[in-house]
Amino acid sequence: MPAWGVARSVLLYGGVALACLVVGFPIYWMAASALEPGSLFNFPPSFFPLQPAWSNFTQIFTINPLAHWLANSLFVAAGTMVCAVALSVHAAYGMSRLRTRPVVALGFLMLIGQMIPVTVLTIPFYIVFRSLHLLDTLSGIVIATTTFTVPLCLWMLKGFFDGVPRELDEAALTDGCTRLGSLYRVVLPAALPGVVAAATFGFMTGWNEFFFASIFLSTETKWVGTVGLVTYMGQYFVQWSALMATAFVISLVPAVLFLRTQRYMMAGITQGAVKT
Amino acid sequence: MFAILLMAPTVVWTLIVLVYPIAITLRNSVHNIGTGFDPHPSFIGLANYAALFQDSDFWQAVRVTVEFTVGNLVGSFGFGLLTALLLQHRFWGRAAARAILLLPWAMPQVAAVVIWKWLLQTQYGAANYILWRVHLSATPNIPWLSQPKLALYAVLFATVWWQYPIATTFLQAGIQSVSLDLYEAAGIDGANAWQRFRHVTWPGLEPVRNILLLMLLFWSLGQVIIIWAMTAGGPARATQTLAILVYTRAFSDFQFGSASALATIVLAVSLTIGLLYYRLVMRTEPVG
Repeated sequence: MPAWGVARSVLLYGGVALACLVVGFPIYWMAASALEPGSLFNFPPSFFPLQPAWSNFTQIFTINPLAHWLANSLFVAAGTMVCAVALSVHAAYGMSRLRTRPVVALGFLMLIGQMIPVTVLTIPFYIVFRSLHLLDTLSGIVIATTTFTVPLCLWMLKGFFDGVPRELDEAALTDGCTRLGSLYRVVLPAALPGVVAAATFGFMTGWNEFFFASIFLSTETKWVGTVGLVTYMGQYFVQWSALMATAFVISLVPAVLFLRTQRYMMAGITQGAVKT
Repeated sequence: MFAILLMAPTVVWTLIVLVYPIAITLRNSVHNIGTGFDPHPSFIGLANYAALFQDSDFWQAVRVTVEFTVGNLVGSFGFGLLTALLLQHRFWGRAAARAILLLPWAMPQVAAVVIWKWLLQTQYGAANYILWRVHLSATPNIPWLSQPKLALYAVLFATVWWQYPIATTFLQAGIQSVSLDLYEAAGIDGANAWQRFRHVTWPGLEPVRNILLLMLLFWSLGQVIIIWAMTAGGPARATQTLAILVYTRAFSDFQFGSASALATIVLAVSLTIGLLYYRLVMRTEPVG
């Protein structure tokens, strides 16, 4: 038995270490490359930046209007977060408290946004945005992204609202709260982890949005981080170390946010998708 | 009644931003439209669809889509299951391992693209160097992104790396929902690790597994950002999936009519799978 226990531990730790190595190496490689001085055109590649060039991280702000891009990303992310949460909180509450077949079916209808490839909507969005003068505006990107974010937020929040006992809102109602009042004052605070999860998801989706932004935003100072990054990558003389530093900076915000809210996020996503 | 009122803003939003565009797509697909700027395009029935079925680009895209989808399903589900099984055990450093293993999904997809393009770079890439040093490759310069046969693998590496954490999360939740009593009973019966997995974990995962596979199916069909940023469908159409072809038809070839017909086909496929998903979820959890 002890021999088996040792073998089991070796297997477990070996497996975990190997998985972490495979998954973590690309991230390490980005960080290490971002700190390499010069063009990175050396073979064999240097696996550890012996003379870290911290100036790479200041330099990237002068090569490209990166500060602008980050500010724009922040706007789109915050905008998507607010719109998606505001819309889905109400709908999710309705779905959670009135579980009739039509309501559930409506909830599934909302999921269409999750099911279809974004390119399918590019042409109509382009036509509609052109007539509404939303092309080349950040608000247009917020509108497009919100549509694809609401469905998952909705189902996430519904899962959390289901966990809040109905007796709570009924008590609030008898105490003279309106329906909305009981949602805001009683149910929302009780389901706060769900709101955090939905908000994080909305923010991350907005921050990571690339597709619509790359088609609809033409002015360089209106670009978001993801569009700037890909355009920079496409340049003929790309400086890989600066590119990696840019990728690092752009990844930092959602990565940190995710690590801080990981528990809520993961519970939220599985609750939304697995339970009805 | 009140619930309907609460849902109204979301439903109206979705109707405007989702259903109306879909209606435009359907209309465009039966008209002879170039760039979408002509105010009175002529009605041509199903000609756009007929042209697609005789189009080698279309069939090539169908093949690539199937290959990419299978690759992503196998890769993301397989690695997700492996990591979920590892993470269900208690061990020192588990929280850190979990954070590392889930982190790729938190990064922007375009960052994943940039990282993998650099890793797989032909002359100076770390992947080629490592493969060459451990004698898995005879040459230190594998042209991952310029060789049509390899490009799909390159795109799949980046996609699976970015996407599998979602599978891990789903499957972990699934594993946790399997009753501990079942494991204890299996232990008493003297089942080994494989038998426990085969007869307790795997059957217990069924509802989560089905939903996850369907979600991965949607996400594979709809994957655009990674493919577009990494290869834009090339080289020589080797990574051009249907979703990418819709885009190039419209915005590179400026054939809005043909692109709309293609979009309608993709839409029909997605919605059929969606209906399947709906029935599946409805069957697992009765509505009260």
